[in-house]
Amino acid sequence: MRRRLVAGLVRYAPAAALAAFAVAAWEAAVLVLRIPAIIVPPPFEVALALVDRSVDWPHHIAVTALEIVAGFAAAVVLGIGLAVVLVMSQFLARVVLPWVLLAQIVPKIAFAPILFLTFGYNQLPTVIITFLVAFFPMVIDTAAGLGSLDPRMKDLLRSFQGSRWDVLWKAQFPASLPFIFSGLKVSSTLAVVGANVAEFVSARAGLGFLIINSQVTFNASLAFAAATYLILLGVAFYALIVALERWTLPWAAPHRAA
Amino acid sequence: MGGAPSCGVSGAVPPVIALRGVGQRYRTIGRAGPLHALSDVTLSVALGELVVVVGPSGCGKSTLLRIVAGLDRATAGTVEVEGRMGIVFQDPLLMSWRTAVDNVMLPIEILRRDRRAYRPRALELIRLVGLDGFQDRYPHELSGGMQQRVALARALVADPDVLLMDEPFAALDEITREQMSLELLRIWTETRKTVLFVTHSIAEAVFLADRVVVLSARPGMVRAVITIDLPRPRTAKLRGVQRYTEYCQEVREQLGLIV
Amino acid sequence: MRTQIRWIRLAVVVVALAALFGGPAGAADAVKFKLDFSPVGYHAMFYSGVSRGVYARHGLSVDIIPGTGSYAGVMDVAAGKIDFAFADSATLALAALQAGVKDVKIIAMVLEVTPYSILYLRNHGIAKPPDLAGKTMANFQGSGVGRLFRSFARINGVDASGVKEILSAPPTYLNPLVVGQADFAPSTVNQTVNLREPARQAGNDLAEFRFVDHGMNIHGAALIANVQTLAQRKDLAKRFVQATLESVQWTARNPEAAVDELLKSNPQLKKDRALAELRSILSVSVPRGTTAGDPQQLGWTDAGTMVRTVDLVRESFGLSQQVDPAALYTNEFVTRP
Repeated sequence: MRRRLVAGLVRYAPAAALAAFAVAAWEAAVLVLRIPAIIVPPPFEVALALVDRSVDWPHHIAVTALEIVAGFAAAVVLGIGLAVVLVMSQFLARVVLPWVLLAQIVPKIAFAPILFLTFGYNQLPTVIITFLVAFFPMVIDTAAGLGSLDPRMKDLLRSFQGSRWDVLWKAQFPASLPFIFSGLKVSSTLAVVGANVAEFVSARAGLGFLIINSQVTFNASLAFAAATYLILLGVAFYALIVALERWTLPWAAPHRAA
Repeated sequence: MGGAPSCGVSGAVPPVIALRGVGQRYRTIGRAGPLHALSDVTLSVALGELVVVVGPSGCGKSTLLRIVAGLDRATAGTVEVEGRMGIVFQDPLLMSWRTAVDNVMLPIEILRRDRRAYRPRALELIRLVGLDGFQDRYPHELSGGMQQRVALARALVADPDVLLMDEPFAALDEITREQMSLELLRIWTETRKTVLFVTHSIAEAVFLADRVVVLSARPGMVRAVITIDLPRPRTAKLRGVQRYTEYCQEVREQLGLIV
Repeated sequence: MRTQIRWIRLAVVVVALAALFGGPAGAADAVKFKLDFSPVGYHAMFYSGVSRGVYARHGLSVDIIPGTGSYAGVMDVAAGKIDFAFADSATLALAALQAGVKDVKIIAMVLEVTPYSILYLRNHGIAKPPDLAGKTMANFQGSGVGRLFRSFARINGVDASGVKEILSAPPTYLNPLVVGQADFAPSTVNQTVNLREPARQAGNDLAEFRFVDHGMNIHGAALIANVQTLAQRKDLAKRFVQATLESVQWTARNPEAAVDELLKSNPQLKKDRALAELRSILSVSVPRGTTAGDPQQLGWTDAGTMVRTVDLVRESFGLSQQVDPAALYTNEFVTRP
């Protein structure tokens, strides 16, 4: 056990050293270049803000985390579902894909106010925006995965009376899992961004709300602290997915990239 | 020994596989006229026989097997097969996310049979093909020859009456190929299946077969059916025997290699 | 696996039902009130009303929603999605003129005097408004107060033709001013108190030209409502106005206590900053009756001031449309001072 701990420390030591150097450089820059604290706060002040008890950090982190998870979950379920539909029916694919593309390209920040107007000033529009932002990669990656199956595999399954459903469930779906995980990784980071952007438009709580609120009071260290927690949230989410991938796809070990 | 194309074995017992006048024609876009892959193939395989179809690349032998398997439909002639079929392709086509035993169990799942009842059989077959101890390995942990053996066990798990094999050893190196030929004969002796085997290797055809069907180049037509009267069980020593070599030469003649 | 799915399905149904029918049922009327911006010091006027039970005493359960600009608040009220909002009068006039918004009225003027102000750096050679000529202004897209600068310029003899603009996004659009990349910026008095010290640290001397001191005496932010609300729930509107004005008056008398109340629901704000912001707003627009008197008086909208507000907006934005200033407000819930 201790050997593993030491091994882990050794592995991450260079990265930690780089981070420490970056923080030191940041502090030095702020001091030497006399950058006003309202624009770039010194790291020490940000650190203080991170542990400031008067800010209800657990509450704000939980609010944003909930939006991210809900929007992401919707994107995963509907994204995979839609991909299956598109792969099974070429007709539907031609009809539906342009709309999916549209949902991706339209700048969410432009019609976010409309969503708030329609669904009210609560977390639902935020979850919807998060969903829209995370949706597209799930559809595309899942569809690519489903289509990645060796066509001869279909022959094989047909040779012992396999139905189209068997092909989908027993062959296409498992073959698409590496692709789906690729999509999950991208979507998870997008979900974090999406929830944040939605909170910028309207929120009463959450990390995005804190960033906006701290900006109007020129409390830059609070803004940076909220952003730090948001980054940590995103990293934790991503790490969770990587761990899930490692557990689910033991056979892909030699081919895995990150 | 050889000569005119014949229907094959005549006997009171009906053949397990019977092809009559089978033709396969593809309509092509933009070229003059259709493509004949097969033309007037008549052939039967009796119960327990091991028949090998040999021919050059593109002569339609794989198409022939696919027609027998029911994966493609013949545009002319009839096909009759008695009983269920198991297939082994050139590519083992194992599911990389399943262990060896789970791959072998695949047909049982598709056919919705009782998994618990068939699992011992799957393990038995794994032992039969010489992979005892490897049942929980993933395909990427197995060599090409071992993967092909898993594919063979999979083809046998649902207890088919007929085994169809489409150049199963073509992707393996020569040494492994010869080993696999011996293995196949051993398994065939134990299971006594009816086998229709397709290859482009003359040596392999003669070594394995009861009868060799020589197919010409496109359009594929039956050039000759040669009965291989060599003793069983066949061993590697057989490859040095003169009659073996003579049979090979006869096949070569029919293929037009010796003018 | 099957039992887990069954439990999950049950949980989903329970949660959905709870969301539909749950929540505290009260005798109080539920009210959605949207602010002009994200909560800052001067919003203590409203938050203290909630935390001290002033609204509750008037039979109201007020849900304060952080805002994203007065214009958004006007639009939300017009669309009927919000019951009341705190929005700038000039912005309401703009919405009426430019976007033809007809259904929104001021029901109580909270900031009788506009808090708009031109922040400038004294050390950049500016002592009086005409010195702004040829200087650089920090502004943001769609800035109402930035546009009003045109009227300010005319009234104060500023040659605005040579003024350069640095555009960025609110609220950080003022950063260039703090560091000295811009010479002046349109903003509000509460930002002056926020930025004086950071500007000083950057070596700059920040001062302001308040609109009210420079011929731009227009109304500031007010409570607005949709005419439908006024027609169908007049009593509710009346109670809301009463409670809010009471709360505003109390805040003006007890600013520090009010900020303490504000911090109960917005603990991320800093007390000294919030108090300074609140005091600056109250100094520009002293609510009537702060020392004594009827709170309803402080909600009065002055006819002449509204006319001036509309005129200056029309001039600044170059609008040809007309609107009757009297249609933009109602004094039915307040008393004449």
